[in-house]
Amino acid sequence: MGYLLKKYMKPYKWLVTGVVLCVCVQAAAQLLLMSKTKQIIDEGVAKQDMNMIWSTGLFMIFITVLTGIALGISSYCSAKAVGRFACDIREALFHAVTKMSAADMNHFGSATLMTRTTVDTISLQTFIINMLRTSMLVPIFMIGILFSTFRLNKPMFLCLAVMFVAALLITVISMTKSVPLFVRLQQNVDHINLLMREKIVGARPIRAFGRQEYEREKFDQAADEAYENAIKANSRLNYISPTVLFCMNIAMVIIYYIGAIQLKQNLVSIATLILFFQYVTYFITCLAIIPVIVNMLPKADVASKRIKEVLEYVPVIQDYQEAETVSQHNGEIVFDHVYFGYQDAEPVISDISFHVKPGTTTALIGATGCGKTTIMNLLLRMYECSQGSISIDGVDVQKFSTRDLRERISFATQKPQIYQDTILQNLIMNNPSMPTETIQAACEAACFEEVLQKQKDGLQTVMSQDGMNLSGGQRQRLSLARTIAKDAEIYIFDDSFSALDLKTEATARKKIKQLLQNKTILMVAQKINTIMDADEIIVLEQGRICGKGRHEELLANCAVYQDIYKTQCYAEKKEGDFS
Amino acid sequence: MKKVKKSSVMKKLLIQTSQDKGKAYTGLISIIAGTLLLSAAPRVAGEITDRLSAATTDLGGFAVSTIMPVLLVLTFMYLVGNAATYITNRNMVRVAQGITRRLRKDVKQKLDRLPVQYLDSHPTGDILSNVTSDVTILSNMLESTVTMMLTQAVTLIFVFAMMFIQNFYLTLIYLVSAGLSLLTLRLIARYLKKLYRNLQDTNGSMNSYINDVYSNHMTMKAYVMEQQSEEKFHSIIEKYDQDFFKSRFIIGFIIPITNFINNFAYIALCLAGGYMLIHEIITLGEFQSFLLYGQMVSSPIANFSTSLNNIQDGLSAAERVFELLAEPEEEQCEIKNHLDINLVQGNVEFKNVVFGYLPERTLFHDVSLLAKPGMRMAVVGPSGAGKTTLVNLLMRFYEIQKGTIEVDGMDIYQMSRENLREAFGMVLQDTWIFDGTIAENIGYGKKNATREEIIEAAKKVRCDEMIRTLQDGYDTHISEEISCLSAGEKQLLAIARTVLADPKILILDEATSQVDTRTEALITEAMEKLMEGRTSFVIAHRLFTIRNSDAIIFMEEGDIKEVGTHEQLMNMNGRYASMYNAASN
Repeated sequence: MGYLLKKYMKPYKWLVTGVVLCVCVQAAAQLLLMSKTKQIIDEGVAKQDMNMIWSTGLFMIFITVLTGIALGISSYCSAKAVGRFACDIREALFHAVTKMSAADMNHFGSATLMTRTTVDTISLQTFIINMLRTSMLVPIFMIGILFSTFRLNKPMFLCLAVMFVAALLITVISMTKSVPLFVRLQQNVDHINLLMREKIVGARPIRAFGRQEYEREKFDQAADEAYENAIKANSRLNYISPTVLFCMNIAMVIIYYIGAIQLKQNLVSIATLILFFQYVTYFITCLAIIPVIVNMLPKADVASKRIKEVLEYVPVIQDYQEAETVSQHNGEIVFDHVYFGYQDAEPVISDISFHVKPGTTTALIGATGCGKTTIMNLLLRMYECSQGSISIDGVDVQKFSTRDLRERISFATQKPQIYQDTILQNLIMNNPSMPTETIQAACEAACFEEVLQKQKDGLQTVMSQDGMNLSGGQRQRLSLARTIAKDAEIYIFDDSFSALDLKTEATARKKIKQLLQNKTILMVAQKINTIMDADEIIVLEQGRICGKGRHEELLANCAVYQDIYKTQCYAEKKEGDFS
Repeated sequence: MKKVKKSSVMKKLLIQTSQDKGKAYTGLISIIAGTLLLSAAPRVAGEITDRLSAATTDLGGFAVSTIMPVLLVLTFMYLVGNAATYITNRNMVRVAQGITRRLRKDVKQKLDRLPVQYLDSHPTGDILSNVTSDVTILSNMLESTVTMMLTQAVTLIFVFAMMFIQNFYLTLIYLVSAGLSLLTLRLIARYLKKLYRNLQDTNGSMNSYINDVYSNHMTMKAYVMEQQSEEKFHSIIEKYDQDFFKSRFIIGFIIPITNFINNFAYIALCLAGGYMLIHEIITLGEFQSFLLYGQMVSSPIANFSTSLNNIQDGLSAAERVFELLAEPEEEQCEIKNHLDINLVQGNVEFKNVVFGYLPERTLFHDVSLLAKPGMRMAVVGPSGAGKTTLVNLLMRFYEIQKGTIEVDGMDIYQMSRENLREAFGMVLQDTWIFDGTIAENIGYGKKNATREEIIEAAKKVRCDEMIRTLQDGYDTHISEEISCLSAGEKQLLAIARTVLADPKILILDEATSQVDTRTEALITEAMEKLMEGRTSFVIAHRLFTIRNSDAIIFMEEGDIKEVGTHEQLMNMNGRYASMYNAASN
């Protein structure tokens, strides 16, 4: 947490200083206010001087108003500082994520990055605001009280200090002992939640096998364990507050005893004793807050560690420093003995070599998990290949700036990715000056025109999350329209026709082919009829190329291709998908 | 948040405590006893002060011994008071955890008994948050907030009573300040509500934008939208920052204002106390006890709204849990028939079945079909044709509206569900794997299965070899999320599980493109072996399976359209025939 505070709180250090000063003023004023009771008793009451009491009262009101102002300022400063601090962290996280490549995204997973940018930042924000507003007050107050009591009366201070240390020790020891128990309790609860999940997801198989009894035993055991651990973990916490309180109470009793002796020797006044009690009572209130603060710490710490991990992460793919400006714009692709794998795991793709001539259509086919999408990602430099090289127009993709590289390629993802924005924005993406004709032509070719006509606000219709206000097929058409609207040399369709019915698919493919004449096209598919008329078809199995050629050639001499053809051949010609 | 039924929720929670009645009562009594002693302590301390001050004015000098008895009493009060607090904590934690444990078990049993329909029609995430986080919220509330609130309430009552006994006017000062504090807190809270709603809206749009960009990361990269996204995020975050500041600034005023009011009360007390001391209306000890009481009442009042919020959250969570527990369960019919599992023949017959998921939308109109023992029935049709409906009816996950379904001539609606399901085995496309070892996952198919039986089952479906290559072999830990197995391998495990169960009737879903060709071959082989000599319903995706079947059930638009052998259906020249012809051209 220190790292984040140091780096991101720095611009707001004056605001934080303001808060600290105000809190000090508050503590000092509060203690001063208390000490006035001594004056009232010693000087006012003892001398029967009501005027003195009134004037002291006036002074106290002055202090109170002053405290009020200080607290107001601190409220302003802390809200401002924490708000900015958290927003800066959010922006830094957002920036870090936008810089990541697909490989980095895979490393984290978008769900956890989402949690880190939202939930974790909020818990950190809450923690810091609590720290600035209340937690900081506690130690300052305690130090102030110890200091005041020290000045007031040494023997009594000593007694308070000793009992305080004892109370602190008890708290710290018990808390450290209970932490592992709470960690275990959390594991129990996670386990129970997992079992509950299994129950819901597996409702059918569980009932089919009729093994509810077995399940019950397992679950009851988990629930009992959670119960036992909760009792155990809490058993330590149960005694902390009464013991600490008792320590302080005993301090009070002893102080009374010391006071009585000193009183007899005329060393103190009764008013001192009364003031001392007020201090001790306040001290106890502070002590009671400590466990609350300590409890907040681990959660905030975990959150900040998770945030820091993202902020300090170095993306796998860095832009090439001396990126070449490539003047050629042909759209020629060469894969030369390309391998890719995650760290030590078996390579996802091995020894991939092929050559796509400008203006031709190449298709990749194979079962799920055979590495088709990986090849596309490597071309876009979302991943870095482990061995071999990929080049576009004769230049290694690593030597392009990623911006230049991706401007040349238009890519349609497997699952349509729709922004919660207007349809228009979803089509033009980063090109606000896209001509209307281009948009129209793209919509027409992708068969999106007919969908658009049904939308009340046409291009201005706003998409809901993940484009859920369109059907799967409609989303895919939108994604296709977007892809062909972009002006590029290379167009990639990663299984982007899968959700279309056969008739629409055929129409869209024909029209797109017309529109993208002379452009290089790469298509990934699982269905043979999507790619039958490609200039070259590459068949993949388990990350390797096992066949290359035209449809007829492959049908004649590639066993894997024949298999795929056999299992698909009949269903495809019928109107529906058969799986 | 619904405000209704809060009292009934509270009643239900109280009923839940009945099993820990003793502990709950002990806790309650010790709260009262402990708070009573600890709130009386300042008064006793005042007594000491009074004795001391009397002694100092007494010129004859005094002995420390005059306060010794009172000091001892005070020590005793502190000791017992704190011990009582400990007993309270101890008992309340047990009561709270007891309720949590019972609710967890009840909820779990409920999940077993809820109709599949309920689980199908409610998002998994919703049910899950209901059974997990709601129970946790409730448990936290019971454990800490309830005890704290009780203690604080009792403290307030006792302290005010103690003050009242001593001096009415000084008590009035605190009563007025407490009233003022509560009033301003309420006012701020009302104003805050609006700000909070704003903040929540902005937060929502911020989160959804983050989600948008993160989940569409690939597209953002491919279309070089990084800068544009960051600019947009910046403008959203600026708005959030403003809203956050506004609400935070106002919340920030809660502390100064209550602090202000408390300090004024304190000053008033000092002034009035000073006046009363001069005129000897109160003693020094009483004055001292008032000073200490002032501190004792200020924090419960400041915490009051937070605690109330916690309680509200907890009660709402409890309400949702109780709502789930009150859902109707799978109906139990009158059990007239019993299948002897060892003697099941595997004769399955649908007689004039009418069914629809919604009563007004009938899917099966008068369906009749017969599967004789050992027959292989292929279920075919385009996706969304309702092939799983057949599974739902056979396993009695859903109830039919008219007609009967019979197994070996016995109406399945007249036998217990458990008995019926024992006769069936089922391997579905999305394989269910639970958290445990591979052996446990296979062994799930049969009660008390031995290791030998498990290995034999694995061998039968040819996945024994695959399992042995894993690091811990059969003891390898797998779960839905963490798993070293592919989708196809998981399906093999599920088949092994069914082999072990050895049912007479099978429902199988053929593998799809999720699986590589080699594993696919293994799965096909395993399924073939499994089907030998059993009545089976196969949801088919392939041509050759269909032709080899004893009968074909052709489904479309949720209904069974044609039933018969391949030849029969081809001769009928209906939908199946046209599909088949189109495909084999």
